[in-house]
Amino acid sequence: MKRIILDYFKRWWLVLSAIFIAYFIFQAFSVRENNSQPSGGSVAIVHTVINTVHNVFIFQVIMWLGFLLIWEMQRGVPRVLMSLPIPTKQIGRAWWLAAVAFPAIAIGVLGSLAILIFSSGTNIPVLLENYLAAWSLIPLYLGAMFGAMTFGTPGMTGTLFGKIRTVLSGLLSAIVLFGFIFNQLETPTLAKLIMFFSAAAILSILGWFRAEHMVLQRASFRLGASYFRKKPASHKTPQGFGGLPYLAQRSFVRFILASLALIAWMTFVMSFIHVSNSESHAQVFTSAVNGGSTPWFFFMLMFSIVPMVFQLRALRTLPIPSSTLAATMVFLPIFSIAVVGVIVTTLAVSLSGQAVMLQTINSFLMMGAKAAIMVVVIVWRGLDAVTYFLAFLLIVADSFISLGATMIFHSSSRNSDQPWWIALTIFLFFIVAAFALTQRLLTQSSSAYRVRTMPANAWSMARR
Amino acid sequence: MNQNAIEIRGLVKNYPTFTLGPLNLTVPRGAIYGLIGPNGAGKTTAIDLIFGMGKNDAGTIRVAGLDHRTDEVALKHRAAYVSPDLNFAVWGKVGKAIRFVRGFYPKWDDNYCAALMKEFHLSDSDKIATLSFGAKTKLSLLLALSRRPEILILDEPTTGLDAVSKQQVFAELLKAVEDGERTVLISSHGLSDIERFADHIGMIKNGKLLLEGRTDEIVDRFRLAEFFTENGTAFPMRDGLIILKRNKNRWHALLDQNSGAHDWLQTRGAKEISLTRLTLEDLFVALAKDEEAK
Repeated sequence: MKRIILDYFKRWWLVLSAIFIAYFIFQAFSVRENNSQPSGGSVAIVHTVINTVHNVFIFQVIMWLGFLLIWEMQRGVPRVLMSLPIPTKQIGRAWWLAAVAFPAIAIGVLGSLAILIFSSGTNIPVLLENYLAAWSLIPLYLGAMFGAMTFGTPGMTGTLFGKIRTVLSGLLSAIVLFGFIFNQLETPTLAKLIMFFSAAAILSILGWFRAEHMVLQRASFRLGASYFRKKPASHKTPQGFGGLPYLAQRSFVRFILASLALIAWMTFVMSFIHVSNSESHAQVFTSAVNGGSTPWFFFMLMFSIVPMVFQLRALRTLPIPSSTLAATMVFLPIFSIAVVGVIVTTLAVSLSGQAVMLQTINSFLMMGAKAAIMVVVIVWRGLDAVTYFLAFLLIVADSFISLGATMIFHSSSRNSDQPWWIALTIFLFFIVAAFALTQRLLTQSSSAYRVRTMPANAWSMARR
Repeated sequence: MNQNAIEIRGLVKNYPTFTLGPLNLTVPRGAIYGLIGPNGAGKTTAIDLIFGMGKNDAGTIRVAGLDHRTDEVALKHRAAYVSPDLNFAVWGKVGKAIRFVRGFYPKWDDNYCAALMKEFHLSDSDKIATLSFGAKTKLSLLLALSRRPEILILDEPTTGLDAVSKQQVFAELLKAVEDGERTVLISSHGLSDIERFADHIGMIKNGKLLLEGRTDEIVDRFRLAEFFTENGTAFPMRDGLIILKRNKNRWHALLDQNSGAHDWLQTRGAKEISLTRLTLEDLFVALAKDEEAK
């Protein structure tokens, strides 16, 4: 068990270190700002922004720690571990400890240290017990995420029951994630808090006991064997346009549909939160768009960028100039984001008026810039730990930038107040740089083509 | 008209732990050329460079007279690549992958494609992710053959194939080259298949080409020599003779019949020299061991 845990940390140390260091820095900022003397409204704004950023960050930490585990399973690690002379129960519990207990302890220790170090020498008392009370939610979130994952199925199997089960397990994970947002956006009543604590605790405990089942299921899963519904063979050559326009159409449609589904889901979740506060549709929609930015980034990765990297080797053997291929890889996700951006901005303006337009446009421009960077990173590194590390940095960069701007200007100068041309300049710079770098990597580097299919990756790609 | 389908001259590619080349390789037009070598010899690297996957540090590659960098697109219209490594799973279904690839080739042969689908038991509604490893290779081959390429480059195409599937693949390849106009470059470490199938071979080890030529000529050129010597006789290293094994006064060596090593052995006191024909596999193992010893 010890070896499995150590192995997990050895392989992911870079990503985990980034998560923990970033958490420590946020906590330190939080302590320093909360200890500063009030001098009017600006400090209050700073406090609000820090708390918001901190909450968003914790959400990202939980998502990332969960994703590391999913990637482990996609890479076929359970199959490898099952071949070793270790009881399955121990493998499962080692994962639970590595993904739930140790990260939660690390976060708790680092947070407490940050509070103790940065509050020393100040007059205002820092209530460590308040922090620890707030921290107690973290193991519950991580545990609940893990527990939800143990109910998951590795792929959309052929039976109706299998499909229903896959959908339900996906929903369970989504509920856990969005449960976090519920909790962060609204001060919960005691009853709600007890309900949440109980549900999360039950899922965490179930996760501990079901971990063995999850490992066994993932290790023994074979998509070919599970998909038994055989249609009559047909040997017709498909007609219709093909080539890059077909690739663009598929990628584009998939991303747009996924994004619209995400907006609808987030709006539904937010309306549920805001209904008690009697807030307007505009606020509901704005919250939905803002709250969805991190999941959006993952959607973009999963639906637009990663699939292209998997087939990069095949694409390079086709008669496509490297410049066209680089342009397709960079501009296709960006064009998809732009279209979603136009739809969302139009909806936002019609609901909330011109005020939200700038914020929404800036948000999408920054997302486009991130997409461009991720294309370069993935073509450069493939899907190794450094890619995940850089993707994590890219996600938290937003929080760091807004935190830095807040610290410097002492105002809530998030995207909403930044002039649009700053975001546009950043966006254009990264797109041009990404195109040039991607083309260079495609022609100069061999490593871009050595991205092998992950053994169990197929399950996530074969749901269509 | 250039008689060679592929010409590689002085090709070098440096990696931190491996160097390919300098590599010179000539694939004649209409040939079935087997590029053989152990794992990590540089076969895939050489093929990758043909298709522009990475940049060579030195040397030139010409395919059908076209430079692999300046005429990249024209080259890929005329040459097709097959490998189990090509991932079409993101397309979901076989039909969708075919539709995508078909869009690049005006000369795509729909009838041939349909016939191959039937032959390979691939249905357009099959999910690629659920296909077996061998079926994925067949899909890759189908996508390559249906575009009727002049030059077909296959990287380890028989990996993961059962005996029946292997025969199917080779039968289709033979059909594809029967008009004598098409060329096949096939890299493999399955030497028995190559010996039966390829009319030309190139042996590669540690990034260097050990030898190249017509398969029958190469196999004929080398012999396993068994001979005896008086006590204490030693043989210095020389071209065309590779000592494989010594048991007291009994010797086993690989002998290049074109090198004059046979006469040389006799002048050095070797007695009862018997020569045995080698299989391609034996020859390759002997040459590879010698290269390793160097």
